[in-house]
Amino acid sequence: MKHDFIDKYCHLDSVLHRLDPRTKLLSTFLLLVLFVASHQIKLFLLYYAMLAGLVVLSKVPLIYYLKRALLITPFVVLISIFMLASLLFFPGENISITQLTQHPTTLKVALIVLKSFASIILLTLLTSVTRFNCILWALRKFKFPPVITILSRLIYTYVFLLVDELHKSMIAIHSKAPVLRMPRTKVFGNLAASILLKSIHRSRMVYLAMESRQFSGEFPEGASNHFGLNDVAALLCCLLVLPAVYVLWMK
Amino acid sequence: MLSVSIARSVCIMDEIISVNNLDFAYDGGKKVLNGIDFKVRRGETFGIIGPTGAGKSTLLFHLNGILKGEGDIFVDGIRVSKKTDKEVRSKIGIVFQNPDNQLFCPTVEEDISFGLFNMGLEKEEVNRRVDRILERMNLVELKHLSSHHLSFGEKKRVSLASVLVMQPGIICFDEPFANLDYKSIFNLVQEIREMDITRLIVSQDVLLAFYLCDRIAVMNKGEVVKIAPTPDIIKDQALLKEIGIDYQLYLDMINSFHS
Repeated sequence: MKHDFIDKYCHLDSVLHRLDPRTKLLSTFLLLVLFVASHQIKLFLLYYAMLAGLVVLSKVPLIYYLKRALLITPFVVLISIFMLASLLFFPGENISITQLTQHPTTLKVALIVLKSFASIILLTLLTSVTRFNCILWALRKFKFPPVITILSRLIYTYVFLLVDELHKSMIAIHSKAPVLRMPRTKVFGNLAASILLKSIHRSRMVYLAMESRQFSGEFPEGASNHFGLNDVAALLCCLLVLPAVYVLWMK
Repeated sequence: MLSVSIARSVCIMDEIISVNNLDFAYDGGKKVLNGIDFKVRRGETFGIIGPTGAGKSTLLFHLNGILKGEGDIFVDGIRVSKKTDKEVRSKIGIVFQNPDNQLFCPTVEEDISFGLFNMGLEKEEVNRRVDRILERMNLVELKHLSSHHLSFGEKKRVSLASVLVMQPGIICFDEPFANLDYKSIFNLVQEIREMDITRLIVSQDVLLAFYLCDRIAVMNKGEVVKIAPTPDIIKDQALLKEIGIDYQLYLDMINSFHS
């Protein structure tokens, strides 16, 4: 059974993979703030150029980023349509489609689209070059409440069980009924219930295994990360260079 | 009088596990374990055999306190209770029947080091022990792989390594030979025989249990029905037949097919 939906490209070796998780987490946070705070489209030229550079450095296939970006596309499209439609059909204003391109709301929509995709690419970058448990480790180092990090780690552990049970049940369904003649709702309803029950049983067994190896509620840190020169350089880039560029462009 | 007392203390010291009158029921349901009594001697290989649903695995989970029933369990002189869980679990390791339940970390290395970090060992010591066990069990190549990407046999070896690395004085195997091919069974049998610690094997595979164990407890319907040295259990065909783990049936089936 292979599960590749988390940590799929974390085994690669790149400059970004080798950075300390704290550096990556902090840089991502700073860049996200920067993206959200930016209100000029021309700034996003710089951001996208920077993201393109990072994507190349990460050695992760471009198609992976595009697939992840696709996940948010329906939401972005819906928001854009609603905003533009409200402008067209707003009773107080009389705007034609040709005037729409110069309207401030259109600029807002464009900014939302740019910010959304830049953010999702950045987050995909973070998760593809950092193992999930290393991100949690970094969060713990930044004094995040343990309840969040421990719960996330448990969910991370148990999500594999759910997927494993789902795979097994799907195989069972396909082997018993190559062509489904029963109502799909009934089949998938039963499937959901049985997966839930099986995964509860298995998660209990996993927890017993953890307990038998002296698990006392807190995951050991384990990760051996070193804050090196690369990390200092990366943080300096985020802390000094990008805000400086931002201020210059704003002027 | 003194010699009797010394002899008794030597005998008590010799017992590494002592289970006295253990009862257990899941959530107030029917009793799964009923008045279990047995003792395991230091350094021996002790087997627990019985049909499905006899309560073998449930009994195993009581030994390191992950399940708690009524009655007393002593592991290396320590009474198993909530207060002594940590100490007991450092002395007794359990290899689960299904390795998928035992491996939950992103990589093999992290899975093996999980228990060591929980024991509070320093990172250098953890790395040293992990590297040593990986080498001993020929798992070096799997070190950085995800456990989810391994074959069943490899998973079984990794889960054994994750317990052995903690250097317990007692190791318990829950159905160690289930779902393994003959080559993996052979390797595992060799591995178990080479261990110089107390071994407790819970298995439905009576022939392998007979091969490996010095003494055997036969369980049926939550009770221990007989404890004896392995040769005596082998001779008691009537008992094995009565509880449905008669290996002779299996041999007869094969013979009848080929005759």
